[in-house]
Amino acid sequence: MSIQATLKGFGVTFKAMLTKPETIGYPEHKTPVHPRFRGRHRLWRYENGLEKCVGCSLCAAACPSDCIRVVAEENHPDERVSAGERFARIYEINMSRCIFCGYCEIACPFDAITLENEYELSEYDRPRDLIYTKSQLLMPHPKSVPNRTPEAANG
Amino acid sequence: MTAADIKAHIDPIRHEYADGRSLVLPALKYAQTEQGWLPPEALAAVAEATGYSQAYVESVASFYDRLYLEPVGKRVVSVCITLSCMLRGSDELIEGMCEHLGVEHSHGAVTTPDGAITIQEAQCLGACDKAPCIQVDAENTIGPLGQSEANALLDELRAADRPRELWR
Amino acid sequence: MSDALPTKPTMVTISINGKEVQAKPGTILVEAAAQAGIEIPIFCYEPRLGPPIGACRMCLVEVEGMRGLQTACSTPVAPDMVVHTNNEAAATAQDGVLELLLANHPLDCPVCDKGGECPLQDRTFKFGPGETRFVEPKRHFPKPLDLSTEVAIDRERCIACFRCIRFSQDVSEDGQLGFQERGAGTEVATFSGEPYESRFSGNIIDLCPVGALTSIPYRFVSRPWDVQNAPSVCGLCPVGCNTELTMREGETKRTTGRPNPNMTVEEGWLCDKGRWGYPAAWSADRILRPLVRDANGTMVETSLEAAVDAAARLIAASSATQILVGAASTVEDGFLAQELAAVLPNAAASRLGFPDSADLEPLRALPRAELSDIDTAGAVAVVGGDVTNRHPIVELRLRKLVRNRGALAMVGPRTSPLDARATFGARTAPGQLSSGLAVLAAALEGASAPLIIWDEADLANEPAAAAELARIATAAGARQIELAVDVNGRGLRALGLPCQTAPVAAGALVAVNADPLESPGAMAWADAIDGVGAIIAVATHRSAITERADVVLPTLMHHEVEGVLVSTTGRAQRLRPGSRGPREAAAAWELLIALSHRTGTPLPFRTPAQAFAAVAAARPPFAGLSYSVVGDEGAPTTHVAQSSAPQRSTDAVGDGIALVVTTEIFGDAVSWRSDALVSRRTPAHLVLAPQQAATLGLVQDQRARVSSPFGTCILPVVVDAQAPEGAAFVAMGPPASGTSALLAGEQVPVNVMIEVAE
Repeated sequence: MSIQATLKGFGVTFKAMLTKPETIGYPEHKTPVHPRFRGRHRLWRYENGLEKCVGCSLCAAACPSDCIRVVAEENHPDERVSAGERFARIYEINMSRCIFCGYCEIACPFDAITLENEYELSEYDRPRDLIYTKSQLLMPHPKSVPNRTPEAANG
Repeated sequence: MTAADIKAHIDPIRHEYADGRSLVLPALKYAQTEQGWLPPEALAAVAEATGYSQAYVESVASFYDRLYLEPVGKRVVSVCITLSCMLRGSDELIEGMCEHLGVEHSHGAVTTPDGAITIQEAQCLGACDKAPCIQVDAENTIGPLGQSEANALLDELRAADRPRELWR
Repeated sequence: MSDALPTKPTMVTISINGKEVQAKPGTILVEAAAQAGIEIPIFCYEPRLGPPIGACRMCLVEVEGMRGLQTACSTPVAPDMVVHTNNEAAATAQDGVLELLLANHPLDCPVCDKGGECPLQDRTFKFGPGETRFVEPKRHFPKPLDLSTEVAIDRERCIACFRCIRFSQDVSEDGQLGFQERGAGTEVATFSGEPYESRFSGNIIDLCPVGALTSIPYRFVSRPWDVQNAPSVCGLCPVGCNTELTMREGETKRTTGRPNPNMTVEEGWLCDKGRWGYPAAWSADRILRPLVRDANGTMVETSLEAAVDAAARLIAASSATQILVGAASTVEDGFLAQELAAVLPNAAASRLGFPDSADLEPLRALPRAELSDIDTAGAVAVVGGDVTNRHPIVELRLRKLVRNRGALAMVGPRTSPLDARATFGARTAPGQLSSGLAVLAAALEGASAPLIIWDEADLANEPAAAAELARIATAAGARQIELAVDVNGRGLRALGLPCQTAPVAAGALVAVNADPLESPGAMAWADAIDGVGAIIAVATHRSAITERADVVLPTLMHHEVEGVLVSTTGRAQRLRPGSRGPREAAAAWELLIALSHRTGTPLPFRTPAQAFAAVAAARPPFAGLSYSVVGDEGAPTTHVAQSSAPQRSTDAVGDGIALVVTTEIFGDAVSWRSDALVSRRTPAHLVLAPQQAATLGLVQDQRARVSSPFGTCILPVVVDAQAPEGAAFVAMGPPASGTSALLAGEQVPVNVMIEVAE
């Protein structure tokens, strides 16, 4: 092995020391995702606080991995939960089965569910932590007053 | 008025109607002539007299504007709101008439609180040449009418007695 | 056929979309096209509702040579007809009709219960416009309204097809529904907005081609893609209507008529009890966990394993075992009970229900008819029974018979809404059926395909009338339909299970879906039950026997099990599970097999299908049947004369006036347990004619003490001007009413004393 080859090798090393590193210091730093990246689901509300989801189960029908469960109930006229006649009393997504295909979002007639950009979904326990319930998925109420939750409605 | 009265009225004309269902109309007409309108009891009596179900009799009665399922005033004024009359201003005419009588205009019929006059929206009265036209007590069609003429007619009707021979 | 006579063509040839189609003369175009595999869209066409009315205009087709377009639902085929169902004229018309129907339709499919199984959706996809040109605001009605406690109406969605109204006016003939107003304001309504009260009201939900009529108990419960459907049979009365069970997440959520109805049995109609009886599975008295009595005598919840072990130990320790099978048990349950009794030492199996009677043999030996034969009969005589309450679908058939201009004769002690439709009716005094039969012969004589429909209980108690009726029927060449008392009484009898009319003496008692303490003869059982060593109750709900039992094994209801029931006309039909049932419960057949294993005498069966195959091999009435032969539509069993049927004593027992019992349609245990039928339930009561009530010093709603030689109960009085004098009519009510105390296990005619209860 000649000294030339050694110098050439160190040359690469020294050159690399002067360039900006490609490594991203996750979790302190995160890779930006594309705008249409499909991550964690979110259920939306209208501006008046009513849920967009009416519990029609079309997302469950479209879901190729059968990971959505919807149990609907009738809205009480005095304390409406959703804008339609019915609302989803139970809305669960089994995140350990979800393949993030976005079909639920396409099927939804009310744009109630979308796939957002969050991708950090690791948990320790599948049945306990990876079945996302409605309260986990639903966006917070626009007003800070405590609103009647569907659980309370049935409790 | 009982089912027997109605039966006595329709039995002589029964042979004129090939289908028994058609007899419901003369029976309803008779019941309304007697009572001025058709309360549920009258519909039930007609059902009993004709042998058809109460729901069927009510179904027939509710089809016709001239069969009144709610009490009406002594005189009924029907204002045509179909195309020709509408283009010639029947909407404003009926509003104005209601205002003149001091009642709130509604789609359907509205009666003055003293029970003198009912104003009713009507579909085409077949007098497009007289548009906008009105009909008083389902008898004579009058038109074309301006607002002042209509109001004068209402005053006249309020003052006059109800003609005896009217079938409603 | 003679050559001289002009022959009527048996088939006509028509052309539909260029395809040659053979059809019988008189066939409606829609049907002829369907036979050729061509779909003509329809909404209002429904042959079960009577003649077509052409209300919806959906089925417009072009027929060459006829002016304008024709409604295919009301045009019969004619020779050499050339029909186009999808050429430009027809397609444009169909497209246009759908666009107009949808103009005022709210299109709230995501919230609509019909969404996903909606003919309007399907037809729109297939035949309709892609988009609407209607941009104006749609018609709006307040929604939804309750048409009754079980049916919700959403008038915005109605397309005015007339189906529900035709059902109400022409099929159930309650005449309560009609259209009101006209044009876009047309709405289905009842007279003066009263609630729709009919024993068959649920059928309008099945009939509605849109989401205008929906079931309130099923409201927003699930969507068609969330569920599995199982074709099953109703196990609540002996008629055996074919049903479809809708299961979501392991529970039955709905019962509907089959999409392809069994035209020989129920024609797709269900009574409201059959439709909304399934919530009884969740009633508070449902037994969810096995119970075993511990050393202190208290019932302790345990596992099914442990409970079956405990039961097996009790059986093994007993000198003798009696297995008692209830009337609603399946054929397999009855058979396995017999098999278990055969392998256990000193054991016997019997059934609880209406006793066998040799006197009925002449009637049962007559040629058997199906319920569909009622429609086409020239004359039908109904002798005894209470079809309205106990065999509701038979009533619809009889109404159809009258509409088809057949003669209907009603003979018997009970009043019926059918009396007004009967060409000939005789209210006979209790025990005097013979007096009404005298004129029956004339009614049946000369009629085409005459039929007799006779009640098992009423004729078993009047052997003279049974013999006379059999003679009349034979003379008239009539076929017969039996109105059985017990749900599967016919199937259990065909197995050769003897009827248990007296209490068992000693040893162990295994009661399978049977509660002798709440059945006729209850008082005698109550006296004898202390002498029984051990009681093992296989039951679905708490009752008197489960309170006394040493081991309670929870079992499954009729919509939760696999098995075969034999209907009142003798059809074997399959139950399929539409629910998994409670976690700790098991089917009776499974428990009987498990018991056989734990007692050391295992039976060679693992599935109900195997058990049924053994039934077919061992019991002549079931010869040739198997699960695949029975299939979805059922198959007839063979009547085999019972040589050993005992002669019953039929002399009336006791003093006072004659007792006539019935069970009202919504007055049985299931109606009282189902929370969907809360507003329909009727309690046990005593019906008296006005004169009779006055003689006894009783008025409406007063409480009367009714005593027979067997027992006493206190019942509210209903005075009914229609009821015949000289008899006490008792509606039995749910089991806890105590009315069964009035009857003997033999169910012989009884006279009762009635007095005012303090």
